[in-house]
Amino acid sequence: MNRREFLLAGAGIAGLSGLAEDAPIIDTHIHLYDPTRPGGVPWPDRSETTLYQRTLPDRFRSTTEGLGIVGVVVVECSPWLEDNQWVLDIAAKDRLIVGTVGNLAVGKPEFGRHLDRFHRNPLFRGIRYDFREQVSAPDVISQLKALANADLELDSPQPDLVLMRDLVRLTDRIPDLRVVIDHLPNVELPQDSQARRDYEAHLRELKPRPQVYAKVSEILQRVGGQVSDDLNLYRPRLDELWDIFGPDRLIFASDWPVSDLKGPYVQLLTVVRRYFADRGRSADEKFFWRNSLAAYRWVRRQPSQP
Amino acid sequence: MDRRTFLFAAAGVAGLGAAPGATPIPIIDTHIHLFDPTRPQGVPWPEKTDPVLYKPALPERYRRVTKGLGIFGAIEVEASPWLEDNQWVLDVAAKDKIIVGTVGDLDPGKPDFRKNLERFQRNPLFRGIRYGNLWNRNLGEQLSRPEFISDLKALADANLALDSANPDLALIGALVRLTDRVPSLRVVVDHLPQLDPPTEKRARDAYQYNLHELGKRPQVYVKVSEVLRRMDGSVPTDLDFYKPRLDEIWEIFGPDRLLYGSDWPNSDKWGTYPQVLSIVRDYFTSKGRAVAEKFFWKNSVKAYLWVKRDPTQPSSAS
Repeated sequence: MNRREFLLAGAGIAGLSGLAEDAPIIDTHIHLYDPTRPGGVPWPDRSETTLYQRTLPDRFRSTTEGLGIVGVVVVECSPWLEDNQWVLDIAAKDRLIVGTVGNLAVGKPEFGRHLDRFHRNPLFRGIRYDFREQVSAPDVISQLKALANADLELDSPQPDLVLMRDLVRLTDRIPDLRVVIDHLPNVELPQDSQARRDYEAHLRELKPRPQVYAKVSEILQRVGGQVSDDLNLYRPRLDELWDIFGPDRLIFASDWPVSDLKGPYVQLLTVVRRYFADRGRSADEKFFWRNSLAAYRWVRRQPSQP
Repeated sequence: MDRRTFLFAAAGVAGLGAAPGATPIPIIDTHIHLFDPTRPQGVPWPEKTDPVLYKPALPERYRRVTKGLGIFGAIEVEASPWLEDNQWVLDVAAKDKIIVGTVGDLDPGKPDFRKNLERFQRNPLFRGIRYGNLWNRNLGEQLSRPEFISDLKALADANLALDSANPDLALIGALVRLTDRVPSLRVVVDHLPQLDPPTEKRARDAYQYNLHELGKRPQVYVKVSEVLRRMDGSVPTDLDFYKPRLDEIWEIFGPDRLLYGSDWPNSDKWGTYPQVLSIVRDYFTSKGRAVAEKFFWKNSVKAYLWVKRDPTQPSSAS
């Protein structure tokens, strides 16, 4: 059984035919943390039993075994400064990790110093920062310009109307900053028609901006209490994203282990696998690794990585 | 005659400042439209089918409608996207000193914008242009075009203002982006009271944030025009009905950034000129004479740098 057959079998789907060997996959959004370490973790909460367990590269490996994941980008899940180092220390020992997205307090006077410190590690590829309602602050703009000058990227928080609006304003102000919108399939769309038009106008603004990428993560939905991997359920939303971001700016990401709350890794991968397989070999490769290389400039650390 | 008009008349109030012995506060109306459907080339607006508006709206009629109300001057705001209507309005204004300024219609981002700006700015009565949800335009969609931004910088460099109508959530957001990009441009948000804030909480928060952003920017002014609204087929004329909306705008923009504008003759769709005036007159005079003076004329001097043409018109030096 090859990887695709395994994947499709695991998802209970009849195999696809006529495809060449699968593209290698870089998963650009996983979290690592260890609740058992001294000092504990700021997230997840102890009461969140699915997530509150040691979540280290080995667990990711066993979850994704046989699925063709050859590298990951670790995204912060802690506002503690030293957790940037904690993740980098793990990454140093594990070549699966091709980059990290840290958490530095933008707008604070010490930002520049912290950026200098972590930027020295080539695995440190960017930061995640909630810039909603912050882009009028001159300090925020100047510090994010410094991030762009360091050739690092910015990951966004969970998208909504305000995020899209401020992303337009941010990229007006700093056009050379690469920005990755996290979890766009899970966007909270406004219901109000005026607000909906506003949201759509923001997306149209972002459409021609090549430095803005979107992670196709948190895609799974439940239908009647059951996680569905029926591509037809997801196709309209994926088509919308494709229409805006096209072949060069959509990026594969799982949001593991948070993704476990919605459904198994194999299912989320199956949905996007099938969608991008239909778009052809070149689009498939771009989605699974080439676009993330452009967005993150992640580091190839072992021969299996593209 | 309704109660308010009656009181107005009975008190024999000319203009504002009803307290005995107080000098009435002069009023500059910063938003009226002039057009003449009977001229040979006709007009692009209003529609022939509009019985309320489709008749000549010229200074003489405006003077008649506002007689005794203390209006000393008015700024004409474009009601036509035809280039030569900028000249038509300036020609009308040249003959009547009640017009202290005009807000024209030029198309920023188009190749001939600079030439047209150069032509009309020579006339000191030409105080700005309007661009917004009008004439099938969309301000937000233009903001990513460098030539649009640079033309608006040229407008700011000419010390002229930009009016924008008709506000919705997207236009308010676009004005935040615009003033990010061209902070030196004075912007006037027309008819803000007419905007229906979104009811959904997230969207309302987004709208509130945008408005507060504009509130922090001293170069942004708001016209308290189109205040009257139709509710279930009738137009309330008591201040209590409008007060919450006016309070919200007041809290964000304060005493120095709000301008009086009637939107005459468009305002005839909601009420008579005295009705339009008395709502805001009651609201702003209750905040004291200094505030009312700012609202009725002093703030508009700063926003438009309009031209005093007649000794009765107020000026900051006097």
